[in-house]
Amino acid sequence: MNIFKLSWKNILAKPLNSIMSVLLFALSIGLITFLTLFNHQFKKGLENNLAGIDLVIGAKGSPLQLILNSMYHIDAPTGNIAIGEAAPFLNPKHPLLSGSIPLSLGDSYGAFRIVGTTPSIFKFYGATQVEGDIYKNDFDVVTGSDVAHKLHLHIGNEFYSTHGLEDNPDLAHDHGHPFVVKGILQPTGTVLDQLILTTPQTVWKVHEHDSTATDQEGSGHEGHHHDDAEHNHTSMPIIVIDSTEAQVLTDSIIAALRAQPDKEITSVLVKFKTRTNIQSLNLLRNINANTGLMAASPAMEINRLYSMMGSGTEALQYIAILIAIVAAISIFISLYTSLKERRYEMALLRVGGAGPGKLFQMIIAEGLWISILGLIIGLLAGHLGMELAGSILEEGYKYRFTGLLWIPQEWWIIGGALFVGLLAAVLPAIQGSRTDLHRTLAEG
Amino acid sequence: MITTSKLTYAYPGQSPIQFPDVQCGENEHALILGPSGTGKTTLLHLLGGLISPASGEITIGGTSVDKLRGHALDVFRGKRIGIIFQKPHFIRSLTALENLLLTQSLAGIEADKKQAHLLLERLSIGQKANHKTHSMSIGEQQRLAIARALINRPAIILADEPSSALDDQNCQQMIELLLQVANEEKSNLIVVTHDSRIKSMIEKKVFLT
Repeated sequence: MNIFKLSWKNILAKPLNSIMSVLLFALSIGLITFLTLFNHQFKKGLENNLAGIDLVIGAKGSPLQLILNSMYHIDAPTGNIAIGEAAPFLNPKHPLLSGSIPLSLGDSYGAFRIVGTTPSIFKFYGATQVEGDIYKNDFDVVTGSDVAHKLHLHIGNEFYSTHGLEDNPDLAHDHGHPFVVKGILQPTGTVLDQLILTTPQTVWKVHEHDSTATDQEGSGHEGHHHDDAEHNHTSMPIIVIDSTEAQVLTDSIIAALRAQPDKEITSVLVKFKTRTNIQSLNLLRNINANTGLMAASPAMEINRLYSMMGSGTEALQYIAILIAIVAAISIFISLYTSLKERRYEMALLRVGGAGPGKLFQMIIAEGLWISILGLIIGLLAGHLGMELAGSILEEGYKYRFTGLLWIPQEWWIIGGALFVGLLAAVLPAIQGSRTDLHRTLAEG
Repeated sequence: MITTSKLTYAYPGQSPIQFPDVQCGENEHALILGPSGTGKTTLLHLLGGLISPASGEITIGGTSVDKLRGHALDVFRGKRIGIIFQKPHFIRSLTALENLLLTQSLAGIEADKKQAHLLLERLSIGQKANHKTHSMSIGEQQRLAIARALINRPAIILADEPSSALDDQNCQQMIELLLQVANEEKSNLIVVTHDSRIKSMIEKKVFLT
């Protein structure tokens, strides 16, 4: 039975007071932890998806909307643009661009967006491995790993898309040509995990029901085998995406697109050869000023988004800090009142040989026990809360939020919590260590 | 063994109190008697090292207690002095046994559960070892207070009005028990009291005026 065990017993001896302080503390820590985990993953999600993209070119509207729609796939498109207008930026020989990807949006399956694009998107987002194969023909799709997991899709499965982004059966294109899953990407940690990828032409064809009959010839899709594949879910080997093959496919898709200047796509993702080039820097302004298109810079728009989101989470953080202060006051009051009741006990400890320093340690330890308990409960609750909220957040942000991670900022939370516990206990501890032995005992 | 000489103690802003000398040899016990306000408790606290004298000397078992300060005094008090207070007070959050173990550990002595149990048995409260102290009767609490004073085998046992709350029968039993354990442990027992029932039980008397 030493002074630290005693401090623990003292906490247990006043369960109601202690629980109150611990819960307040846990609430504050939980909230701060949740916000920290959210902010970290929110930022990481945004940053992972930057993928080195320097410009997004699309229809005029809100630049933030264009970025959110084309890069994060969480907002409606600003409109469509004619291929003819966008053609210069799709030209592989464009002097300023090292790469560009056309995007055609419009349909979804099971609330996951179907994106018509070129296979060069895999390299853009750093996807290198696929189970099965990449898409080669219209109506072939490659799904992101989360899509396949959530919708239980396997190689060879077929499905019909839904118009728009909602999972609404009334809007299903159930009498056209079905999509066939040709490949499933390995997880990339980017928005690709949440997308279904196919050729741009496929997105048009879904909306041209009349032409579906002719599509089947050209698509090369052999519709007879899918039944077998549906019944035995044998997984296909995982292969490394052949970048030469992807480039050849990309080139032919781009050439086909440029041959149809009247058709529309949603936007173009663009990478510069050099970012510091003056002409590159002027490109955004030139497009906005001199063409019917709009160009938006992901870095700029994301910074704008940070500052907007930031004020919201900041307000919540202040509330959490306020609760932490209330928790600290609650620890202070409970220690202080118990000290008054335990004046005689303090004197007894002194009689027994404990110096003032020991009494100081004991009361500090009581404050720390409460903050440590609150800290443990709060950290667990924050992580659990994030894990539970993760699936809800994933739908909205197209990024997999998890509570099962540890980030360096949490050490600051731990340090801060212990400091607050210490601070709340210091005054009572000083008071307690100054217990006047003789007077206290003489008064009985 | 305890001797004091020319002890004085000064409360802030008051003229110093002078105390008569106290001397107890081996197995000798003493009563400190006197009307209220003559400084009985102050003398007891001086002997117990709870306060330090303004002048004079206190020697307990060869140690000059008046020269000790701070940590050294705390350690000496914990190891060599057992004190029984007028009203039995304990650490409420601990059981009877834990109160004893804490007393050992505070004095820097390794907690000895077996010894603590034996002591509780000897004082007939062994069955209360794992009870919280506030659930025990006054008589049991008095016995536990004695156990706490004894657990570290002190050189002297100081008792401040130990019998004031007890009826005649309990009073007699309490003092007899104290004398018995003090003799067994070869400790000096010094009792502050104005209780006339005790006067006949201890021969040596120090009068304060």
